[in-house]
Amino acid sequence: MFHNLVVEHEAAWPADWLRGVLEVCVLRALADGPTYGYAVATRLSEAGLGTIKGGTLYPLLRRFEDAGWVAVQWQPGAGGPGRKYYELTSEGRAALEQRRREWSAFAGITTAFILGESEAGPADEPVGPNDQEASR
Amino acid sequence: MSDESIPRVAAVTGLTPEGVRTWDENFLLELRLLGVSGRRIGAAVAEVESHLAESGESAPEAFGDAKEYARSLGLSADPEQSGFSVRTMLLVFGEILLFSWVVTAAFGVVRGEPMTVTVGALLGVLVVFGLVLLAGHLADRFLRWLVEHPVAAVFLFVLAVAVPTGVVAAVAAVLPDGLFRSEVLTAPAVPALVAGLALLLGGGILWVRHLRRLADPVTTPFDAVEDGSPSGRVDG
Repeated sequence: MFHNLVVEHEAAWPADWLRGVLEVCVLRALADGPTYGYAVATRLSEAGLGTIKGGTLYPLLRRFEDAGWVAVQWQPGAGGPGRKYYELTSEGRAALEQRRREWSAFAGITTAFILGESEAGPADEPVGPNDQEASR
Repeated sequence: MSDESIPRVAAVTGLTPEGVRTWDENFLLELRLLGVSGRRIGAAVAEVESHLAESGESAPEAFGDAKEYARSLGLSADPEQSGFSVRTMLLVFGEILLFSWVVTAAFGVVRGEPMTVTVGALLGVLVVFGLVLLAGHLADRFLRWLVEHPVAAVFLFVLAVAVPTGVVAAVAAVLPDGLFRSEVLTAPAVPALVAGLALLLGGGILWVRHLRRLADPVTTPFDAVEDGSPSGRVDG
């Protein structure tokens, strides 16, 4: 039941893990230049984060817009419905930098803690499959 | 959902009763009930369409429940979408007053008598005006409930007409005859009728123009550009 630790995994990551990290990941995906929702989802999927549904992604982009982290512009598509492009503003870049630092510190501490040597005891017992499911 | 089966914004706005509401209709209806402006609704619908066209997913697959997705966007209500402006109230009052004026003048013409405006008639105008405002306020406030319970809404509408009519009739019967019929104004019936009709027509034109301004149609994000309006940052 430790398949979640494998980077090239096919199953979805636990939803509550993604909730925590999605904001900084989407900000990072936007950092390479103006892009649109589906391209952000594809980028995150390629990075190994799994499939991010539109129902999760667009409300987040909407919040970025309200916070002034992104500027938006519609571009007509060839015969298609057109695309809404999001571009990070300076506020958005500042937010990305701040969250990058925070997440990296948090992930470092967490990783060091969970992989570190611990005293023998009941806490060392492997997590059962039911406990894993409950955390999803 | 294939690309072809995704309704265009224009198709979504022309809702046709098909028994069951589609995902797009539920999405649009929820945003309307939240009081979101037509421009922002159009942008939200266009973004859904755009995503589906590229991902090849169905709307429920990609976005889940239409109502929940609509709410999760956190789009703020357009202040113009709810309540009555002073302009609306003035127009409603003017039209009710003019309509009563024309009916009273027409009675005068038919009877070959001058038009007489009584205290009762003026009270009637005020009562009708009050009822219209009350009905409008209640409909606005309980719009979601009315949309979700169409049969009950019809019953309520009948009650809303019948009960006040009964109350007005009862009050008219109880009030002293003299007070109710005492004359406030007398005028020659034919000129009063002609003037009343002209003003009623003018008021009607103002009313139609006012409603058009309030209509707030759902537009695509590209409508503003096509109209020649200044482009730039597109809200929504």
